Amino acid sequence: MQQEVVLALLAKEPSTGSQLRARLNDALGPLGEAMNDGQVYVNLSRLEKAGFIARETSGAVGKVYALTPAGQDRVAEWLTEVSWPKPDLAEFHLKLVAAAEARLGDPIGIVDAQRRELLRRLREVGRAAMAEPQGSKAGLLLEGIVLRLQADLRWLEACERAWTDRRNR
Amino acid sequence: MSTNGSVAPLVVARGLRKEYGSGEGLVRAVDEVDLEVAAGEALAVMGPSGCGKSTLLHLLGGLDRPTAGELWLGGRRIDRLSERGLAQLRRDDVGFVFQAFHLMDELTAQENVELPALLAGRSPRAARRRARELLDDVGLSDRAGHLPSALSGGQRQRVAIARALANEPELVLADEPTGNLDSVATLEVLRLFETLHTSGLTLVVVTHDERIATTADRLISMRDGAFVDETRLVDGTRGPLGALFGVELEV
Amino acid sequence: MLGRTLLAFRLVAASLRRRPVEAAVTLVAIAATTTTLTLGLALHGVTDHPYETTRAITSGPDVVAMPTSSPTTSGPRISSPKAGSAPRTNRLAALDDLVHAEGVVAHSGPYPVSFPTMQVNGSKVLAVAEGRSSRRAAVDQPYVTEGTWVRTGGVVIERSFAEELGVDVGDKVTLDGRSFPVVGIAVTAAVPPYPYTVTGVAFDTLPDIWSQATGLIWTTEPIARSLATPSVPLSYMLNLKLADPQRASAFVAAHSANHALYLESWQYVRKVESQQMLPFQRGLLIGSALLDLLAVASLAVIVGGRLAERTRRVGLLKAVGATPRLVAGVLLLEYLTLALLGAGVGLAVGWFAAPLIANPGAGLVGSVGAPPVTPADVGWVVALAVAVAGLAAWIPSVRAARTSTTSALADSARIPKRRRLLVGAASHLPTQLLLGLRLAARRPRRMILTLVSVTVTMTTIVSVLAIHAHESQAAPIPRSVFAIPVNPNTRNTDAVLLVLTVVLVFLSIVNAVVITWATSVDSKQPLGVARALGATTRQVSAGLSTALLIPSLPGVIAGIPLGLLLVKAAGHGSSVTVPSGLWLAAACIGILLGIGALSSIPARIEARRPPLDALQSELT
Ligand SMILES: Nc1ncnc2c1ncn2[C@@H]1O[C@H](COP(=O)(O)OP(=O)(O)O)[C@@H](O)[C@H]1O
Ligand SMILES: [Mg+2]
Repeated sequence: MQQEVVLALLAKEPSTGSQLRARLNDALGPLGEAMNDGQVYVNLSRLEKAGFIARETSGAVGKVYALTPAGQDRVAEWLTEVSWPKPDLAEFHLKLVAAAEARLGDPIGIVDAQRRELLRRLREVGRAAMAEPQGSKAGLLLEGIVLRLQADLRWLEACERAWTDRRNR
Repeated sequence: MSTNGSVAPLVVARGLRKEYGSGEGLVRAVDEVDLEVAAGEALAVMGPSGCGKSTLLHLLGGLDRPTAGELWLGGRRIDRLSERGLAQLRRDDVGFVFQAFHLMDELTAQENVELPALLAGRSPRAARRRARELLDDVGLSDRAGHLPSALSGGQRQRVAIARALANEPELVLADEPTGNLDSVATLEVLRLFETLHTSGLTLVVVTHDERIATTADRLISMRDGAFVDETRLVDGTRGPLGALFGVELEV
Repeated sequence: MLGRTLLAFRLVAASLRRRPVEAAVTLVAIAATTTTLTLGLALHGVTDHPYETTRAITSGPDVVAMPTSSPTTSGPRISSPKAGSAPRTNRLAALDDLVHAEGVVAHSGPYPVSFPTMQVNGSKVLAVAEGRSSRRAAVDQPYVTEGTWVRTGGVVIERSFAEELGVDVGDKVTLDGRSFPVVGIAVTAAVPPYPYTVTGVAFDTLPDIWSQATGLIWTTEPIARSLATPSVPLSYMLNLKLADPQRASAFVAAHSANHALYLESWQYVRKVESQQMLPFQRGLLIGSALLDLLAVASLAVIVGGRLAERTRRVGLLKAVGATPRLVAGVLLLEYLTLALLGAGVGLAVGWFAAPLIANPGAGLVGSVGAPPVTPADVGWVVALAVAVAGLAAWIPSVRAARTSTTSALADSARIPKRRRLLVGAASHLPTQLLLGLRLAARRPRRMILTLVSVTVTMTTIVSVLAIHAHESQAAPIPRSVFAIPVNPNTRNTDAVLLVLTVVLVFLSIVNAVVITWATSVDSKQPLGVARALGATTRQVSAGLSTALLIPSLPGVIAGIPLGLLLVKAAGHGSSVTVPSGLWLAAACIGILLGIGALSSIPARIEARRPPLDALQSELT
């Protein structure tokens, strides 16, 4: 994730690092677990150096950061950017092709193993999604991951069918 | 088939087969299936339409008799039971949840849930009390007096689940239980199943939705009446979700 | 348009192929209804104003006059036999005066009448022999039902008389020792039929005539004259037509006082006729009423049966985009096909069955000589069949059109109201009864239909029992009085009643089967669900039986007074013999057991298949 995420979260109101961290956790739910506090502070100081944020005061709660006009411009710009992560299927696809051409392994076996892995992941995410209370922000994110995993599983099914056909020919 | 070795299996099938038609038109809907389901286990069966999932489930629940093979439920052989014995089995030992709900249109939600208990010879009062409890459990106590036609799909399915539990069966069989439901209703039903599972009930769910399938402990894939693959989903913890789908900030 | 017509036909064909049992049962029900109607119509020919029919066909007289030796008062009975006889000329003169009396517009006769003793088939009986010419009379020309009218040397016998004696055309009868061939059989409206012919005849010559059964024969005038004896001299019979037939009784009253004449009005003959209506004719009258009732009940069953299923199908068609017109058309076409086929079968069966019960051999024209089923009857039957089809298609179409497609699909248009009483009472009963009660409570229309059908069935059976009880207890004419051995061929009373009983009971059974079947088919889904939940075959069939027996019980009970009332109404107020309690109880229990047994059949057939089929059929 880009640092703009941190920047944008500051747009609501000036906040301390730990407040930011709490809001990130709220929005990400279990997916935010891997993130550590250090990452947040590294990003904050980097943004400060770039002139996008400024330290307001240094009260009892800790350092409070706020957006500078440049930071506000940057947030507005970032919101209008249309970007989307590239689906990263090529690697797995090439794995199958290589295995089949070099007779290094059975593509179908590879697909099966992959499918099992995805199913287990789906189980984890699904359970996490179910555990989220209704209307939680993190629930929506988990739902998105569930759907992507299901799409990936469907693609694996297509792979299996295709490679089975190819082998039988 | 691997099972949870410590507990005696609740369901055991050996060489289970079900054929429809004869001669040219012979269809092996279930073809030499071996299966063990441990007590308290949640099992999912997946496969393309027409691969024999429903047929298998109907055999397990005594809704139909196998053409060949052996079938045990709780240590009792059930594949050769009389029609009467099968009726008792369906009534006392198994709870069924169907894709099409199969509620009685002329009975209210409450009466639908009471039905299995009454069939089992419980007193009307006891049946009514049990039905109230169950409807409460599925969150429909305020809809007890409604006819199925006045309920939404998700509500109907929840009534059907309550009904399946009326006689406290050991085994609940669900055939595409969310096939007719939207995502919100699907989640409601999934949560219910999760509760049942944690309370120790044995569940066999037929579905073609991976998401539902992966709520189970074990997933079996079927093709053309036979099992082609099995995945233990509880094997090996994946660790914290963050490790898999972790969201990290660029450092 | 062509495409839509093709679609309609294809849908109808598919529907009939997919539901062969429903099609067959509907066909049988319509066939039974139309058979019923055909028979009912055929019977009306006999029972609807039989005297008027005969009177019209034979140009029946308004007044019949005969000379007496002394003045008599008019009335059905001659108080005492008269002794002596007036000279012949005086007698004829009195009749001649009458011909010119005021109000008389036509006449025939006077014809000579003698009273020979007739011997035939080993029995001896008194006959009234009227001398006729072979020419057609303007008034009272008897209607020949068999053979020919009087010829030289031959006699024609009145039909009821011939039937009782077992005489056929070609037989020989002996009149006062002389043998004559029987050349014909005919009916008349001038005198009452056998054995009451004598009540319409001034018979002042023979004492004790009233204790004897007498019948009418016709022969040539010379023969009639030659049969007169000194002890039983010749008499005459004059037939008069009045300008105003309604004034016949007044005419009789006026002229009886002034002349040495015995006069009889046509109203009197009709009264004797209906009062002394033979028991089987009464049976036929009740029978035809019952046939009509049964036809109505069957109709209700066909139209009302499976309404739910039909409504759901309408919803299905609408859901895939069929216009209401097309839906109604498809349904109409389907039922029309079945109805016309059924009507054909019903007419054919009626054609063969009608003569069995509608040929009473009474002294009236009835339907004899006419075809058993007239074109008008065919018209009525086909019209009924079309009406049934129309109604069976129209009601669900209207219902489905009024309700939304989705609720028609779910058939929740009729959200059953809670029938507190029934549902409350149910909680104290065994489960299977409870199941049945709840099914019944939520289908009030089906309950009413069953109630009506069972009531009609029981009414039928009670009436039949009452007629039989009456028959066996007191025959209206003690046969011993006739001193005539009863010819087995002529005892068709019992045969007619038997045929009628069999037909009625058969139709009742068809009705019961149809209603049971329709209920069980409509309950297939709920009962399939019950089985999937572990209900045993016995529980399911007991539930279905209960659902049917609840409305049947009041129906059976109501049928008893209704049956007796019907017999009483048909019997023109004469007394009704109540069948023995044992028989009534047997009928009640028999019907209830029958319905119980019938309803268990579909449940048992269903039980041999896995419960899935019932559930899955719901989806398709
Ligand atoms: N009653 C039946 N008669 C004949 N064939 C049937 C019947 N029920 C199911 N089948 C066939 O058995 C196979 C398996 O059906 P089913 O168990 O319903 O599949 P699934 O539930 O996996 O979609 C299919 O090929 C189906 O056509
Ligand atoms: Mg299925």
